[in-house]
Amino acid sequence: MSHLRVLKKNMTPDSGSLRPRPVINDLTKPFWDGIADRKLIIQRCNGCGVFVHPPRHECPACRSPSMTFVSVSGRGIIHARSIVEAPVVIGFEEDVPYVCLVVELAEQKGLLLASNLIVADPYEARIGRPVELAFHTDPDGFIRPIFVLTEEAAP
Amino acid sequence: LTFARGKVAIVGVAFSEVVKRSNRSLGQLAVEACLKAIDDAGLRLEDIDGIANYPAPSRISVANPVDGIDIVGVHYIVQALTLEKLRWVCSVMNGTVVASLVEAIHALLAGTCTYALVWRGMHNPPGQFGRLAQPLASGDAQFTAPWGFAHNVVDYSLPYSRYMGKYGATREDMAPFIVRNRANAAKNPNAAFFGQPITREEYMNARMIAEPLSILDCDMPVDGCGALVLTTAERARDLKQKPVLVQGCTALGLPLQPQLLMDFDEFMASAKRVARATWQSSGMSHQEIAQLQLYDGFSYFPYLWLEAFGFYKEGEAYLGLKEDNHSICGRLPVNTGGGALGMGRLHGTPQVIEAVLQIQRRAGPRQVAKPSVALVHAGDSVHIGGALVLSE
Repeated sequence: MSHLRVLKKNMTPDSGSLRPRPVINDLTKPFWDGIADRKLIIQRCNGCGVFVHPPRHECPACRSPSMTFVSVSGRGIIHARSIVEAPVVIGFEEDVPYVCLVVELAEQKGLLLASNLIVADPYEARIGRPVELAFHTDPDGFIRPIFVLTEEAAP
Repeated sequence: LTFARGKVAIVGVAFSEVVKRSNRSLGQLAVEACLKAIDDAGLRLEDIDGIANYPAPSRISVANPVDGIDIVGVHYIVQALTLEKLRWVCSVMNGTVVASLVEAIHALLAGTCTYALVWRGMHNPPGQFGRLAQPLASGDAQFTAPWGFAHNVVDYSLPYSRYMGKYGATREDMAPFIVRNRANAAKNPNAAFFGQPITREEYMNARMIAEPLSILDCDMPVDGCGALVLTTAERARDLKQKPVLVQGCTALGLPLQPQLLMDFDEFMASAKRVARATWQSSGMSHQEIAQLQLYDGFSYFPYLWLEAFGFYKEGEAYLGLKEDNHSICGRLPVNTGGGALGMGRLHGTPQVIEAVLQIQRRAGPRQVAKPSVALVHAGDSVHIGGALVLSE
């Protein structure tokens, strides 16, 4: 529950007003509909089975136009991350320090998703650490998939 | 079929005043740099019959850039210099000064022009760099901007975090390179940080923007312009300066996979394609290079180029770059003019012009003993980064 406390402290209603909100189109609507239902769904090719994110009209691997959206586990590892310490991003000034996270989802090597890691000490966000999905509702009602650290796998 | 090696020469180079903020307009600074470069070559203004440029504004947040103020494009220069004899004009959409140099080299080889002028000018308007008000995130940005990624430094810190995590590199490992770069810039009158070296402690305590990138890991936005004049090697023989021959060139750094974010793996794969094309074009390998001028818009970039071009094995450049081997007196000097981190954010002109001055033995207190063949790299792997091999 500790991550929820951090959220409350860092994310005031005022700081949210200039935050970018998605312009949803036909291609991306299934993703955001999934988020509204608190599910992470990712596009997958019906031809070769490869996962694709961000969504595309045809599969970048086999060029099949037959793409569908499927639920994923929400588990992954930290592929890359940035600890934003200076108030340089408009709408996020009050949140610093916060962790911009690139998760490699467990379903496929190289399947990357951008998010935030919610953690008391941002420097705990080390490359390779396992994370899992959670959801956060911003003051304006926007639901954002986020991630939290999970226990390191036993050796 | 091979690239026409050694058939085109850089014959004149110059910078305008390069400072954090100038009280002269970018147009005035660009005219200063262009006239100085033409004079440096021993040519007259009316000799110039080709121009090439990459005009993008220093800040992408400039909505409607004004030519001569926010940018300095081909319209401004043709009119400011009244280039009546012009036969060839090129304005590239992407890249750095190297992408426009490659175009000029091709035009000279094709005989489309005889004396080409190339410049890259950048203006640093008031206010904080890189702050973008983006209430709406469309296209792929809808998958990054709502989480607070919308800043250049945040984006570019991601591949560095991956490199560090993968290979164990630290900011302590970076410090010697940063300090040496600024020591080199301190000896360079063209540099924004001329006469301003820094200490290891200053680097280690620098204000963090998006960890692992501190303010001293980012090149400083400046007002300034670098300019170069090129012609055929044959014509170059009779000019004022010793010609610097183009042995190879390329501008092609583009990812093959859609990039949601700056991904380290794709960054490296793309850098290797640039390296392969550079060596193919020049017929050389890393073993023939005597000086390196490597793009360091962000401090960790040289690690990637050193590995992609074969100077180090993957994951080992961070150990090598801190060694004295890469100082002005070393066996393989790197960024002798101070690079972009020391000279200012001028998109490749610091690298190219320093390589030329070294080969011509005009680098003063920074002069290296053996400048014969230079590898110059500018730009990044996802915005048409490129490279030149230059020689005596």
